[in-house]
Amino acid sequence: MLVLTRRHGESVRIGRDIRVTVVASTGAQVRIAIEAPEEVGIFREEIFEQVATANVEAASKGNALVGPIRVVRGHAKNRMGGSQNG
Amino acid sequence: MGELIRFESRRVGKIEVAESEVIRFEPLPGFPNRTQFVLMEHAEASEMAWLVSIEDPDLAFVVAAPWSFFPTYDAPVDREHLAALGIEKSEEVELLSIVTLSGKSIFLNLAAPLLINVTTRKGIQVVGDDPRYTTRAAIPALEPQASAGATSRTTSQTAAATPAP
Repeated sequence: MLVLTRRHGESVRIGRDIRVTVVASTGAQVRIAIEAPEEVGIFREEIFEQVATANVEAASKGNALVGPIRVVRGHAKNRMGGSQNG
Repeated sequence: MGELIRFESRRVGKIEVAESEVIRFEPLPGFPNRTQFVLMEHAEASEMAWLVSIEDPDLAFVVAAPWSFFPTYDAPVDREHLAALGIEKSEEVELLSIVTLSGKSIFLNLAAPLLINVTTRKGIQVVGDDPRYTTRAAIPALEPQASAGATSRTTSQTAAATPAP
């Protein structure tokens, strides 16, 4: 892990395309600005962890749903009775 | 059509799929090394399907179309998510929620849906922070007559993805 010190207004660059800038820091809080390509996901760590926990739980359960299965071709939502109106 | 991939999963039985059916995901949170999955539907009409890892066949998620259960669901998908997958037309989009079966309760992850480009067969899990949605949205138990038996306690595994030759 790389640990470095930056002042207000200074940045670090991660690879060529990602720039993280310290825009404010007050007491315990640091405000950062992140510039990154659209396809790079940026998440608050706790939200990411929440999703990871949910995924692990989902994967560890559900053995009840077994039976003859086949590959879904095309849109599953048409077959599974969903309608996209949202 | 491409090559056939054969594997056996403890959770869904023997599976044989064409390489072209594989969906490539950005690693899902919690499973950093699993990127290739196939979507398997229940042969008897069901609200649920399986998303099975071909790298770890014992890893499988139950998935569902969220609008089947939450008709007013407003999926937390932004333009950036569509751009990341190169989605330009609505016909290219598949959106599914990961299901957690917990005892008799069924939960859908509405906070972090799976978004798939059905043309390129690439997918991501949208890590949304919309406060309206949770990773554990409870749905009413399915009707017992549903042959899929999502709430039944089936232990035998008779799954076969393809008919015998």
